[in-house]
Amino acid sequence: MKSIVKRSWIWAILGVALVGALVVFLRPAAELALPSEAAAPATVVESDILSEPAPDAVSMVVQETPVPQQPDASVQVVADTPSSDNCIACHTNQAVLEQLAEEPEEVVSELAAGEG
Amino acid sequence: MLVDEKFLDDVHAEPGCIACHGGQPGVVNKEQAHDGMLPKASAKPQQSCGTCHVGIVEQAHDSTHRLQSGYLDVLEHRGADFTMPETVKAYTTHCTKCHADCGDCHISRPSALDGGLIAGHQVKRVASVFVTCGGCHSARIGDEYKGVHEGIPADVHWEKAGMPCTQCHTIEEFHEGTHGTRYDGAPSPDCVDCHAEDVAVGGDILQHTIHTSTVQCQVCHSAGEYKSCSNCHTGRDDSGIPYTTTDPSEMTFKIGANPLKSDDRPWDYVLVRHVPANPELFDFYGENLLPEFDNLPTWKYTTPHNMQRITPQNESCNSCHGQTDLFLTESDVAADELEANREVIVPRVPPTRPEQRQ
Repeated sequence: MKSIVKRSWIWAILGVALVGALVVFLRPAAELALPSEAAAPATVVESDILSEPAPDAVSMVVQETPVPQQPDASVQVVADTPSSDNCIACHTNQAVLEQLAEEPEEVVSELAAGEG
Repeated sequence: MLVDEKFLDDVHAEPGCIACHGGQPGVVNKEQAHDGMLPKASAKPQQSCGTCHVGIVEQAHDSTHRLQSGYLDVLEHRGADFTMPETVKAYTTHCTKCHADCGDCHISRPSALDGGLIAGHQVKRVASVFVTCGGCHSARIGDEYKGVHEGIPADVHWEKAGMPCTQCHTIEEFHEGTHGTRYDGAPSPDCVDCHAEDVAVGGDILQHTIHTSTVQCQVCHSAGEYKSCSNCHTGRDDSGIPYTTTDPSEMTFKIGANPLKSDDRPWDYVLVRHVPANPELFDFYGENLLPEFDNLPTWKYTTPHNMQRITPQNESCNSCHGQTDLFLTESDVAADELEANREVIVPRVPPTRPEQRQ
């Protein structure tokens, strides 16, 4: 029985020593792992690059990429053009148009003849 | 001008009426609202259609439809001098109504027909075949194509295939302005674009091997008579209103000598029809305004649109050979037009084929 107790103390001491050794042994690995866990700073660096003025080649690519021009043009026209509400109010209303319309005088000479 | 409310949802309505037509915003009085308005916006295409359709408007700037280059080319060949005010007056009074810009084809009926919106101002990407193309080209080409003339069938491309004008005539043809007249340069469209195998020399059809290089396709495949105009006189009445007079047109079928012979049009024989031109065309406006009238024939190279595979003149060799009535001879030409037509009058009608002589 004494020998077993003796052995338990021995095992306890050995266990503590083993844990201490493991802590010492694993510490460098943990330090090595930190940079990868700390990838965030790398991202920050990357975003810093993107926020800087683009290198010439990049800006050239961006500039030469075809950009649909029609929407831009129409937006500009809409922005620059006064409202046409007054035109629409009359020209979509048949009754109003009939009231305002002036039939152009038919100008055909009595001398006109044939298929011309 | 009643605009269909559907148009308001169209992308072409987005810039607003005033962007293309001008006029005054915010006023309801008609006269004030219309102040500075341009009813026909495409008369200034760079400021209307061209703000978005940059390339097409540039392409169509010199188009035959817009500039009527064919008219100008022909009149200049007949000696018209457009530095003379009388000539300009005559031309702008009577001829320029056939001018067509973007809106004449894509939005309204042609101005020559007094305009009018096709579909409540909706913009037709592909113009209407009969309203638009036929609006100007129906008296001859359109009626032939549809078979309007009694006893003459419609064109097989319409009758059997239902092909609209745009199936053969390309957008470049409508918009481009590289030609003086529509017959300058290579045929466009050309029958061989689709029928190359049929007309191949040494192919299955012997008559094509014999005739393809000497006879225009239409000579054998035009289904019958087509319209020839007689003449045209212009003037203004006592009230100053312009008028034209013409004698009745006639149905004719005439094979003439090819006046446009070239590598692209190598044939000896082509169809011809009389056009509404005469030396005194502009006499009301000034004396001798077409001093070189005889430089061009009045029986002109033509391409009737009444094609059929089997026709009266291709039923046998002697349906054509020896048939003097089918050919344009001196007796068909008015005495005062003989000089103008020398190059198209057939000097000798192809004789009857020996094997079919009775």
